[in-house]
Parts: sequence; C-alpha cells; structure tokens
Amino acid sequence: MKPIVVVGSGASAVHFTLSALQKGRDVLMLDVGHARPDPVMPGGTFAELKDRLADPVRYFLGDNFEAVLFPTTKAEYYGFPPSKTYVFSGVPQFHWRATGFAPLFSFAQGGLAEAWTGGVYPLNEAELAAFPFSYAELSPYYDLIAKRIGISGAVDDLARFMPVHQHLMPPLNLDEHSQVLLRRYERRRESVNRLGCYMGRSRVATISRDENGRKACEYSGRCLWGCPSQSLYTPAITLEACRQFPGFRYTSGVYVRYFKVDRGGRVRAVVTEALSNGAIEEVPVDTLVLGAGTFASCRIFLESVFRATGELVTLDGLMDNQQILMPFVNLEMLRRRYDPATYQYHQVGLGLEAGAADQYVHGQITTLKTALIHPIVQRVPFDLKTSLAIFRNVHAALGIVNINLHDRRRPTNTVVLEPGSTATEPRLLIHYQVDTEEAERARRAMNRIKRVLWELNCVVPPGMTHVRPIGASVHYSGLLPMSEKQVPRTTSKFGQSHDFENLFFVDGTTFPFLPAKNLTFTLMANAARVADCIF
Amino acid sequence: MGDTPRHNVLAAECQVFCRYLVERDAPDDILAAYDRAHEKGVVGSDGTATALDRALLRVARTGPILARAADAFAVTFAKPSLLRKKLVLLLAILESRGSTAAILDTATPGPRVVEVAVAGLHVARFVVTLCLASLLIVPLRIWYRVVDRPCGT
Repeated sequence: MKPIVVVGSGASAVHFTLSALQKGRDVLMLDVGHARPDPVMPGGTFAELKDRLADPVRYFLGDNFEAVLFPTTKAEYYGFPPSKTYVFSGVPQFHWRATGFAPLFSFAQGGLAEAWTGGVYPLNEAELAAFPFSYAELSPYYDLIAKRIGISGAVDDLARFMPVHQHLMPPLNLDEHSQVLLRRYERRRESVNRLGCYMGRSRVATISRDENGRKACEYSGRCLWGCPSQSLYTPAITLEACRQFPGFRYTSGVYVRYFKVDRGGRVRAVVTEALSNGAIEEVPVDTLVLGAGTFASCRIFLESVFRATGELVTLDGLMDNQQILMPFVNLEMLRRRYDPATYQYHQVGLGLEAGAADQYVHGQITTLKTALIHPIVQRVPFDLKTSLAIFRNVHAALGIVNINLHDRRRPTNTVVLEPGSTATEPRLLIHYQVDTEEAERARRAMNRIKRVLWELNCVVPPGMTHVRPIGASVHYSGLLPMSEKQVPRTTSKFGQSHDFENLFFVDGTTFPFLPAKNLTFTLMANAARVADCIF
Repeated sequence: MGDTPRHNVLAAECQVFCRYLVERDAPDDILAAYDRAHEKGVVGSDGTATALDRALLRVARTGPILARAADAFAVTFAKPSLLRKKLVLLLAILESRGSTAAILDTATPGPRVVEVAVAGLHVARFVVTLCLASLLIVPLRIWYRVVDRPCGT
C-alpha cells in the first residue's frame, strides 16, 4: 500500500499521522517545517536567564529589538517573544491580502500551536450540534489525545460547560494571585453564578507529573519565553513520536504548491517546490491528507482546482473567534510581590451562559508575572518614574481576562485565489465582515465579566479593554465544512472531500461551527478520529 | 560603543536617562544595547526629529530631574515623541537584566493607607513637574521651530 501523503506538521496533521502509523500505515509528511531553535540555558529559571545570560537583552528583546512595543504601535498587550519568531516566519511563495481580518500563518514544525498557551477544552453536545457527528463519537478521541499530550486540570464548576475526559492529571500549583481569585470565587459563588458565570481551573496541556519521558512542570517561570522542558505540550513532541516509526518519512524544506488530478477526478500527485533551490518535484499520491491549517490547506485546494479547471472558486464561511482582552486590578493583591517561579499562563477559567448553549462565552484569566512590563507601564498617564512607582506595587495585582466569542459561517466571509502570472505568485485574498450582532454580544459579555470581576474584588481600568482584530485568535475554520449532503466544496463527516474522493482535510477547514472554546484540543481529537475511522 | 560624536551623545543621553529611571549609572552592556538599538534605527534619529522632539531632548539630556520633567510633558502632550520612544526602549533594556529589573519592579509591602498616600504624592509631584516642564519646553519648541536648528550631532 502506498504511503499516505500528509501536508503540514501542526496539531491536526501530527495526530492524524500518529494514529495512522499506529494502525500500520506508512506516512510521508511534506512540510516547510521551520525548526525550533535549541532552548537557551535549559535548566535555568526565568530569574537566572536575566542574571546569567551573556546578553539577556538580545534574548528578551530580540536581535532587532522587535519585542519592544513603542508608544506609536497599536499593538496588543503582549506579543510573541523573539524565541518564537520562527513560528511565524513565512515563505517567499505564500502571498496574501486580507480585508477585515488580521491573520497569522505558520510554516513551523508543529505549526501555530508551537506558540499556544495550552488551553484544552472539549466541546459538548450542544456545541457539536452543527457537526455531523455526536459527542459520543468524538469522546474516545478526547481521551486518546489527553493520554498522548498530558492535560492537567480539575473537575469543578466548569464541568457544566466542559465534559470531563479520561487521563486528567492533577492541576498545576496555583500562583498566589490565582489562589486569591479562586478563594474569592468560593466565597462569592452564589453572586457570581447569579450572573450566569461559573469559574474553575483552566484545563491546560501542561503535565503536573512526569509522563512518557517528559518532565513535569518545574515552575521555572519561562512559559511565555518557551518551555525549556517540554512540560507544556507542543505538536513538535508528537512529530518526534512519529519519527520513531519506520513507516514515517518526514520531508521538510518543501512547499506544496498544488495537487494534480487524473481524468477520473482523483488526486494523483502533489507538486512541491524545494525552498533551498526552487526545484520542482511531483510526488505521487494515492491518498492526500491536508493538515496545513485552514488557509494553507485551502490555498492548495484553490490553486489545484484553478489549474485543473480554470475556475476561480470562492470559499465562504470563514470563521474566527472574536477575542477581547480585559485587564483588571485585584485590590486584594496590591503591594504584594509576585513570584516568578510559577506557571505563567492562565490557571483560572470562566464560562458565561449566554442564551443557547452553543452561544457560551469562554474566558481564561492570566495573572501577570513575568511578561515584559514596558508595554503596560508606558500606558500609565504619568512620567515613567511616577508610573513605575505606582506599577511596582500594582504588578502582582494585575491580570487579564481573555474573552472568546463563538462564530458562525456566513457567506460574506470568503477566501479566493488571485492567480499569479509568470512574474508573480498566486495570492490568497481573505475577506471578513463582522456580524452586525457581534458588537452587541461583545458589549454584553464585557459588561457581565466586569460585574463578575467586581464580585471578585477586581476593578477594570477604564479605557484599557481591548477588542482584538478578527484573526488574532488564530482559530480559523469553516471554509470546506463537513456536510451530510454530498455537495461540492464540502466534506464528509470524516473530512473526505466531496470534490476529490482521495483528498482529506483534517484541520479546522471542515468545522461547520466555531464555539467559543479554544479549538486545538478538538482539532487534534478530530484528526485522530479521521485516521482511526477511515484508515 | 564607538567614539564618534554621535556615540558620545548617545552614551551621555543613556547615562542621564538611566539615572532618571533607576538612579544608577548605566553599565557598559546597557550602553552597548542602547547604542545598538539606535544603530538599527529602532527609535528614529535626531536627524528626523521635529521641533518638539528637539526641545524635549534638549531639556531631557540636561539631567535626571529635567529628564523627568520632559517625560511628564511628553506623556501628556506628545506620546509618540522621540523622547518617549527612547525612554521606553531604555526601560525595556533595563527590565531585561536581573539587577536593574529588580530596581524597577520590586513592590514595597506596607499598609495600604501608606501606599495611597505615597501614590498621591507621586501624582502631585507629576502635576507640579508638568507645569514647570511646560514653562521650559513650550518656549524652546517655538525657538526650534523658528530657528530650525538641529540639536546634538
């Protein structure tokens, strides 16, 4: 049997691949695959990086000081550290233009989840109602993925929104601020619940005990800068697991341009371009699986259709979660010292009931500890010396709620290919128009969360809540949705294209609805499900 | 750092700003990082400075007290100014190093009423500083606009 050809090495692709390999199939993975640099000072803590590195400025701010946020930049409260720049490095062949959308792309080994914050939340029956399979069909794969990647968390009030899967490890140690928040929630539970809000421990893909050769979180405080010990899961870990199989071949440094089809409408080859020398190669295909991320997978599809038929297809239904960042100050934490030797990403989650169960609003609370302070200090309306005098006694009290809203497929949100010429590369054109009701949904969610925070003894500084541009959540999905009807530009419940029978999509391309929860856990589970059910 | 007039101005500027922010002289690695950032054009240069930029830098480079005054003016009336960018750059450099990060960012535990009183004093000082800064900077800005003389090298 010929190997399955998989494009991409992100969260979806690697879990599809591992499942296929475990079933005895051979897999050829084609990937651009920018490699992660070796971790700097692997055994060191965050504090030791600042004290012992020869050039900590270069480490924290970058060779070109790209991590410095200046007053003129309309940037977010936090950016990606220089050590994760490789995750977002592009390729010369990939061109795009977007209106109403601010996309991020990754061609790294492991994909975008190499820079994720590890939130893993299974969808429930209501959220899967638009999908052509049930929670019962997906549940075993949540269990499988939890066993593979290691998830820590608790069974608490958030379980009303999130099914409890198997292999949940004990939760990580809480930092002081997160402890204070949850203690206050315990005391004010009734008032908070009356607002339709429930809180609990985040479920995170960070292991709290040694597992499968990976060490448990050592609380080095380096999470934001890249976990040096692989305690925080990233898909590159599963890529490494795939490499242990003799039937797995990983080819990096290649850009998949398009696939060719035979007269019967079956994919017969992919055309690749070597990044090193531009050499073009045709790789024969019996089964092609696209797991390169929604935009990259769809670009391959669109260019292939154009080359095969001359048709410029418009795909619609693009989705992404609207995200809102709401900073707050916890009055109980003023004048305390933060401890950098703690887990840095979100440890507290919240959920808002919002009408229909599939309109749930999801929140993750990150308490500020080792993130760079200059982006925040410069926003305080005093000279820097005064701002610092105030800030240092407020730092440990700072937190941020990352609020996610759901999205639905709408015909106004499209992707189409602008074909290239002999002189120019093809370009992906992305258009997104915000739903007219989105602003009202966001306003209601923000108001409720402000009231929740007030119950928790936290205040939201006026004017600092930030609605992120659409595209910032990087939960792209929906362009070739699963459908029980065999119509063009859709797939089966197993991601099998209704246009080309030996073509499969295992990433977010096929999702018919985007709930408010972080998508990655479900992407991984779905990809494993496809491999298990079809191959 | 090199020994050209530009480097000397930057070094002197960095020293003043460092004394302003952390009340310490800037060690060699801070000076080098500050200079490197300017070499890379991260904050722009005196050559592209507006009249207000020149006025602010002229005042700020005089010493830590006037640096604070100029900063107070800039944060109120000229957030995107070259001075603010330089100060934010230096703040970012200082927070990347253990010893200076500790100076910037260590809380002083104590009674809340003391904290509120101290914060109030800081804000009051800011207001007074801002008023005094305006008396200096506004005329200087007019001077630079009229005469259009570059400051520094």
